[in-house]
Amino acid sequence: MTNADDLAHRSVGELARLLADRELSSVELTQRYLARIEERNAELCAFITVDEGYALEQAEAADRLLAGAADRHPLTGIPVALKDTVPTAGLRTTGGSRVLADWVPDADPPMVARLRSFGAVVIGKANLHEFAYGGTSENEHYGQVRNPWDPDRVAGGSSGGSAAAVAAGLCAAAVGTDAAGSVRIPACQCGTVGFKPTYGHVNTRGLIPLGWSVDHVGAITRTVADAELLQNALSATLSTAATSAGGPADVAGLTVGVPRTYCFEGVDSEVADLSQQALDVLASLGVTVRDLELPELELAPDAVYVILAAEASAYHSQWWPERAADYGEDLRTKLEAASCLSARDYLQAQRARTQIVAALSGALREVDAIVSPTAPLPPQRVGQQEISFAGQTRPATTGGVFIRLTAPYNLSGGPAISVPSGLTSERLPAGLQVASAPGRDELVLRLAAAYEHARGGRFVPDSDRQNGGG
Amino acid sequence: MTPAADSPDAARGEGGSQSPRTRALLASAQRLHDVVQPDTPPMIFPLEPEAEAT
Repeated sequence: MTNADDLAHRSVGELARLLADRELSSVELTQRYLARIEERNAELCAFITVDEGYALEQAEAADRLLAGAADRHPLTGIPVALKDTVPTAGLRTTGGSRVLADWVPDADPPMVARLRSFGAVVIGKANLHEFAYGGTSENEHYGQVRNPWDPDRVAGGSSGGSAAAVAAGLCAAAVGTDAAGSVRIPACQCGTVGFKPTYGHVNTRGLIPLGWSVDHVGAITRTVADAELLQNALSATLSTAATSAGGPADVAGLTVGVPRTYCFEGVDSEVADLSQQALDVLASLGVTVRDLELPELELAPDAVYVILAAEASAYHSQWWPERAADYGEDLRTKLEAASCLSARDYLQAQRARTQIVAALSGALREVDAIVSPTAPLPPQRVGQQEISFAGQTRPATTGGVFIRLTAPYNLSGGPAISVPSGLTSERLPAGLQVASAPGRDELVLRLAAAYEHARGGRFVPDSDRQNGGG
Repeated sequence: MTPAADSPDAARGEGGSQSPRTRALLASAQRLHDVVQPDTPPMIFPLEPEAEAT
């Protein structure tokens, strides 16, 4: 058997080879992750629910599959965490809220059924911002998710538990949801890959929604190849082969655009430098990098805030306001605010969305992809109420800062990926976002994979490096 | 500040009784109200979500 201490930060692809070669069993791998969860979860609060028996039963079934079939899926026997807005048959699903504290679903949604059909092991339910409505994963009911790179910092959100679990080596990969950046931002802030595919490529039926018209299901992983693998498994329609050619992805001849005025305004200087270095790497691979002007993007934070508030308010009307006391204060004040919106506000936001998407579509007829930092600032401190951005003091969670670079692609439905671009001087992760037009998932993955390969290295938090991990 | 008669705030009373979050959200709505071009239709569900596929 492979030394268990070396396994925690392996990629899915690497683990799949060990499982296929019978150097490791799914039960052994799952037990190792369960032990790490036991060691770290009290500090990180990455998981809300972990049921050892539930996980090991799936691992035993996966080992039987591995022993039998010749054409095993690479996810067979791989422990995967699911954000707790993803219902799971027989395993508590809370949405990160006291409203659903005791809900044990009877059935899996189609997306989870697909994962299980490939033999993936659901190792636990990841913590999140309550009902996915917020960007810090400071959960008032199940604990504040801590960043594995610095536990005094948030993990980003709303899929913060998913990203923290992958970064800390508590699972092999994780599933999140993304309505304004909720996969990409925590992935960026925890030093992992986060991929949001084209809208509709993953069936969201049966999941707890935040905003139906902007919700996406995404993958949080250690490598771009893992993100592609997991995303292909989640989707009945998406099937890309961007990273499977064997060598580095060929991106020579592609053109990427950088909306420099909008996307670099107010960006932390070290994050900006790391993004520029990443652009230089892409240029060295034969990619043409050119600046764009997209002033319409300024509308994106307002548009997504109004759309999310209106759609979330409609969904929560089944509990709100009768059960207002069961919501945390953060979400309660958001739903109170949302109740003041009118139908006209919602439609004006969707009309603004039309203008934003038209501008993006026009730009993406001139360039293959749009590249920017993923989040403009490093992760904020736990409990921080205000941040300084572009010379202004803004609310940390609703000031439109952390979503300003990610939300445009929730509005457009286009694919977008965050890949680590490096560490700041305080050893906090930063990310590079690559986005494109709906349906161009393969292109986005290919550019990210090429950059990742040229950048080299793997991002493992210092706590695990000091312990010999990685 | 009294909201303009045709503004989203007009139907929702004065801002003084609203929470900071309500004021911020209504300010977002107002900014969009101010910039939407007259001939722009709303975009709702831009792509068809995957239907019955599992």
